[in-house]
Amino acid sequence: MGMTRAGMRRREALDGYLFIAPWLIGFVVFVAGPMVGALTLSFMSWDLFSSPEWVGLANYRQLADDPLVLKSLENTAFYTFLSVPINLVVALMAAMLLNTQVRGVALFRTAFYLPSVMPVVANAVLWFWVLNPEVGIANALLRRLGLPESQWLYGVASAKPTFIMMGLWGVGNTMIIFLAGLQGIPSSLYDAALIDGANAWQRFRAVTIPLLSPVILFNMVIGVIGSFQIFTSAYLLTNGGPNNATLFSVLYLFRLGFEQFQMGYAAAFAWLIFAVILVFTLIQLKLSTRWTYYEGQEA
Amino acid sequence: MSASTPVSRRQLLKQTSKGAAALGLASIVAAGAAPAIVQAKTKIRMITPAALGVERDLYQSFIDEFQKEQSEIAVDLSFEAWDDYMTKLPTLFAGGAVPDVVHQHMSIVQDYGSRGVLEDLTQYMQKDGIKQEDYIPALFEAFSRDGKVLGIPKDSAAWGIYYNKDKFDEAGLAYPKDDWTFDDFRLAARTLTIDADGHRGVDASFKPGNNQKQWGLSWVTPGPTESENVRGFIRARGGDWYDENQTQTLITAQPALDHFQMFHEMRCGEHSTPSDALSAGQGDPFRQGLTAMAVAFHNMDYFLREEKAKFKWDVTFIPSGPGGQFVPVGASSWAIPAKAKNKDAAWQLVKHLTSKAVQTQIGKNGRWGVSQKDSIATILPENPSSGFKKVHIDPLTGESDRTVIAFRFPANQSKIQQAYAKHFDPIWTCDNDNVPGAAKETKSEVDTILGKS
Repeated sequence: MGMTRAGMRRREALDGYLFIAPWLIGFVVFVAGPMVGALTLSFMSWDLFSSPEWVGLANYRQLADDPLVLKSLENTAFYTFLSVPINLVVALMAAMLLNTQVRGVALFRTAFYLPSVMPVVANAVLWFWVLNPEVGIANALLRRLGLPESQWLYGVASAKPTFIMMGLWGVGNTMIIFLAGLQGIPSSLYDAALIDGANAWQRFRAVTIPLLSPVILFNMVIGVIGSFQIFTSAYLLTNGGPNNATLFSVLYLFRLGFEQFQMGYAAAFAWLIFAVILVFTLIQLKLSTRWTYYEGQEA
Repeated sequence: MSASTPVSRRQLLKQTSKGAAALGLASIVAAGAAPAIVQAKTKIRMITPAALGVERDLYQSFIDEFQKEQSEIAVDLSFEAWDDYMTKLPTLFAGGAVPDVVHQHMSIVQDYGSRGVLEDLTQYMQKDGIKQEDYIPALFEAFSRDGKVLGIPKDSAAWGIYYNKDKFDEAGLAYPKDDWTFDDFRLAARTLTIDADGHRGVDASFKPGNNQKQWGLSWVTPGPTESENVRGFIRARGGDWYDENQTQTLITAQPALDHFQMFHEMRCGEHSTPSDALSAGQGDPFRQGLTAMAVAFHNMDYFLREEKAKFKWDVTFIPSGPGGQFVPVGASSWAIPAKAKNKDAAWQLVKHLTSKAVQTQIGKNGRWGVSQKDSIATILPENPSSGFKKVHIDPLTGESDRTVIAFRFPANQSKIQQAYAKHFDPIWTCDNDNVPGAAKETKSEVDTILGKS
């Protein structure tokens, strides 16, 4: 006896839900639940030890008066708006180089990707040594070239640019996505452009960039979200110093919650960071309609 | 060979669910059948930061001894790295998984004490005849609040100034006298500083730079947030960090300004103490021979011996001043949370860990100090340097005329640290010379924090 079409659809749907249930449960328990919990906490004063007390919007009002909130957001914005474009450019350049047919390209791809799978702590230790102003190889190289040395992570002016430079080490993730995107571009388009007399730059501008634009958008959105959450390397290497030059938002959030025991206030700050990231993501998505091209869409 | 039977998605899910349910049931049954003897024991949970290796082994051996003596108490010991501990402990309190015995350093105990989460141990001490007088006198000051004892001191660290005798000899400098002054100290640091061309800090031709060969003194953060040791400097000048009741900070008073000014000039004018950037990542600068003097406690001697240092060293007191001469002493303690489930059993463990027997074992190891007066002599190494006993032992046993001082770090340390970082970081990075201005700004913020503590 066969099932009715509606019955089959219901059963299909049920199977589908059962299969996604593990993820769904994980999302509700470990993501959505804590988010709602944090939102509730943001309206409370809680020092982790005693019972939380309802304080309404006091935590949000306090955010406006806290100079370190502004400082940390400025630091994070500086880092994000410089590191993301630089990362995208470097990753794209690397991907294009690795998209060529040269001997040993698989080896090069692995080598470029490898740093991005290194644990952040190991990366931090590595950079700590490289950038040591006294015995690090970075300054040794500058000395040899007769260039002025840098204080790197220890200078107020150089600390954030140093983090941006360090971020390039992990460009492999972005690069691999670009590489996949590049390989999806039909070679016939390049052939047609060649026949039309387009040079390399014109082929890049008129074929590669438009067809890669959804991938650029994806990497940009993910990059901005990730950069706004920079924490581990700053926590390990500078702990916000010198003179709060690397006090990034999530580092300050951690300090508020776990060192100053102001968990309600920290939750309010977390939601502010979430709102900032959301706004920037929406802006990117809105603006992207002007420059992204999807297959089948009219140019 | 049997023929393979196709399995539908529904059947797969059904079978998997059955398997999971059977496993769950089996684990419940197994848990219920656990030996009754385990349930009869009082279980206590203890958490402490400890370095990998010797420190953890040592603690574990103390716990093993305790469990042999107290067979009715089972201790679940959990070690953490230092930084992780500072995060994990409040999280455990917040989650209601409150341990029975916790480690409290003097820099955080007031934070916890001010929130009422630590048990007052006075009644336990009275009941078992534990006397404060048996311990290094100054230590209980750091672990007390409003007449309550928040922790029993578990170790000690008496601070002095280590110096590299070879470097003093090379410079033709006499070794520091016990009652040396800040002027002597500062001049010694300058003389012991050497630039890339071998000119000393006191020479007219001295050229400071990133590639100096040597500095006079390892950097010590001169504010009250990093270590208790700097209190020895400011007290010697006749000042202090806070007033008696810690309602305001005294850093705008002249002794504190002179103190800050001296360290600022040593770093930024005389270059006799390296910046963080210059000394980072090279291990301890004194042990590496990069600096000629360092403020340190007796574990400096321990490490120099362990590493078979190639130079001769000794230790003397922190300089004297118009306020006298002081030996700052630091410590950690064992505390019992107010919400601990088994306080009596926890107290038995705290008593064991601070007993003379355990303290003696700690002292003999040489790396850590002890809190009981009677055990202090155990830290004395073989063939000690001439200053070791004078600085690290005699003041703690009352056989010295130098004053032993501890430091009660006020609550909300992280906020206080933040205020100092904001205004004094530029002083220590040489981006700002206005010490009185930084002190005034810091005082304003710190006094507000103290008012709310």
